[in-house]
Amino acid sequence: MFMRVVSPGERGTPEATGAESGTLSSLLPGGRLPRGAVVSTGGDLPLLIALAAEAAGDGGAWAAVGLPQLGGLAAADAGLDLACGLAVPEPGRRWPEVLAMVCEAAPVVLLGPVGQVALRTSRRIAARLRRSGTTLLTWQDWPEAQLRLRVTEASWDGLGDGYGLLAGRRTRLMVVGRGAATQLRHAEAWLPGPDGSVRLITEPAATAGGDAVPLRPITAG
Amino acid sequence: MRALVIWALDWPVVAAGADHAEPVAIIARERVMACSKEARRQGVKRGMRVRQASGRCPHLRLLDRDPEAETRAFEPVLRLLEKRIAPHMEVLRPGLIALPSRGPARYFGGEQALVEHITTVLTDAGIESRTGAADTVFAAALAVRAGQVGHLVPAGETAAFLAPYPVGVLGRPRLSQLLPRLGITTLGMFAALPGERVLARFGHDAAAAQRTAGGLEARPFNTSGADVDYSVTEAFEPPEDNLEPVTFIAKALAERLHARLARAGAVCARLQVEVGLATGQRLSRLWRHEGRLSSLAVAERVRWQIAAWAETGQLDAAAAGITNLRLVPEGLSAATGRQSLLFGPRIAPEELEHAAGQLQAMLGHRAVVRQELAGGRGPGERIVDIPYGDARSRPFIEGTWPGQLPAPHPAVVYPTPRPAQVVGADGGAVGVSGRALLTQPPAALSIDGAAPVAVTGWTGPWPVLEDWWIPARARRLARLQVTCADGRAWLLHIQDGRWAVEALYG
Repeated sequence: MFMRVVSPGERGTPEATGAESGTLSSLLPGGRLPRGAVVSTGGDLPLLIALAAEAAGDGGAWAAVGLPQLGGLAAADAGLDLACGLAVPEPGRRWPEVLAMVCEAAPVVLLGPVGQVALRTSRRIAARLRRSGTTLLTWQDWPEAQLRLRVTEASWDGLGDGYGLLAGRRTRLMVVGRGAATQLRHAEAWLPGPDGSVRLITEPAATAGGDAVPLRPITAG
Repeated sequence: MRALVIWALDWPVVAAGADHAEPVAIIARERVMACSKEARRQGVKRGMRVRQASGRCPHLRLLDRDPEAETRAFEPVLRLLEKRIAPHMEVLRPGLIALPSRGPARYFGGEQALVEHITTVLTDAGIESRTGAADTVFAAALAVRAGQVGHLVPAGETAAFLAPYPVGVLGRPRLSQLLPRLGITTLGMFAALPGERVLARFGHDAAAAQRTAGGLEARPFNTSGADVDYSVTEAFEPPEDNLEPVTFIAKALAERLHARLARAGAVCARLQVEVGLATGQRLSRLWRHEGRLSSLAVAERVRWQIAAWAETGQLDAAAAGITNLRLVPEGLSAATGRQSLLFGPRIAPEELEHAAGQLQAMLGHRAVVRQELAGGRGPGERIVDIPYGDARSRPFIEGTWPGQLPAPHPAVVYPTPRPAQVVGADGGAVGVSGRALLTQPPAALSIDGAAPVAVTGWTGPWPVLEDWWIPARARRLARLQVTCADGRAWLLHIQDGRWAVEALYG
């Protein structure tokens, strides 16, 4: 069997794990979305959909909780199979219970805006995810996310002054993780591209001096 | 049909060659599946977690379950019973067999005498067994566990015998969760429900379960297709003297069988695995199927069976090669469940359906939905939310929708459009003329009364006139794509002179 020697510094990078280049996964530490963990998307629904599509794969089950505004067409274009999905658009205040039930059934769960999350609730959810191996993708920033993605810049192509059509959104993505993956990574991506699909424009690059990146936003006082 | 079930006690333990005097447990999926008498004496129980069992009995020897070895060890027992009792045996699983009791009972002079005879035969062979009889195989399998030595349920009293059992014994996880919540805890109460209501509310599988609970065969037998041969055969030319290729072909053969049955709209109760040898000899064995085995599960049973024959010396492929492998379905009835083959493999996984059922019990039927594509122009119209488990009322007809927006599609589609203000460079409102032209180019957009954001690009408007033939539903609007200075792109529409945001592209 063919084997590649991976140097210690290279271990865990997409090149070492064999993630397909050009996909969002190749931007992530380890080359894939972590299972049994939370990934936050900083309030960007196209990013949330794109990650869910990569995590669910072809014909994989997924569930959306608290996302009445989820655009089904965009989701289908990004690669989510609508037939394998389940949505609870308005779980109300019982969202933690709904989430717990859904995690048992679907390996990929999308969670919409739910407001402030109590520490107890988030810990309980984290335990549940570890047990079921479900990837939870949250719309909002999550206090204990394993990975945090964010769209830092975005601009749409295709529209002029009274002519044209929306063609694609060029975005600059930022990824920061916990533990071994604290190094900040950047990439430019079509989110979505002209045909509705998602792919990277530039190869992911790491920021030098990644140790200095704060894990939590620094606030005064 | 009278059925007799014979249960060889602790078969996995016996098959593993373990001694009842030492504490042994057979483990499957991290739980105790069977244990020896000594282990039981020390408090180990079936279904217990490994850690808990080891805690109760520190010297417990753990063995992994090996169904192949169980089948292999069971083969001589089956041969013995076939020789001494009845030629027609059906394997439910290794250690548990069913046979129609009418013929043998008459031969041996009654059911009681038959049971005594079976017990004697098996005890002589050194196998501890219990026997139960009832009007259905399901009830007989429960009767075999009743009491100390098994129970013979008199004819016609099967329903009464089943009545006190909890609904969990039906082996339908969804029903055993839903029914107790409705206050229906026993098979008797379930059987007493009106049949057509059960069918309407819970579907065909539950209706079959209800028949089972009432002491009837799960599916009414259907003889209309009985004269059609649905069996599938794979011939080996020249005769195969290696077992591997034969077991390998079994899965493809099982798939072919299932496809054939699905085309005919039938499921089989039993499946006969038949191997033809170059000497002209045929080996066959019946397995329970009930339409609930997948192709992979069938292939697995074929593999176990062939390995068992080879081990017991009945099948010596090196001496006489295998000429064909045949799967014969028996006891055909109409398939009433979901036929995934017809709809392709893209069917929501079972766990998801199960979770949807639970959530609907908690939040209401309409709170859990799945999305389907539909015809329409706006992004909100091209997706419909259907309560989970409902079929859509109108089929999706692929049509041409002039004015439909092309990809990329908006990721955020608001269930109800949000009010917006579009103003021109002079600060005045932007409108759309009767000729579908903007009165002036938009310069700023404000949504929900928020601070206005500068517009960097726009296109449109595209007029839409829908349902004009139904006055109550007629609507006339114009859509506009707009990009703003904050990097967002919106889909706006104007209707009756008021702007609203329909969707956010991102």
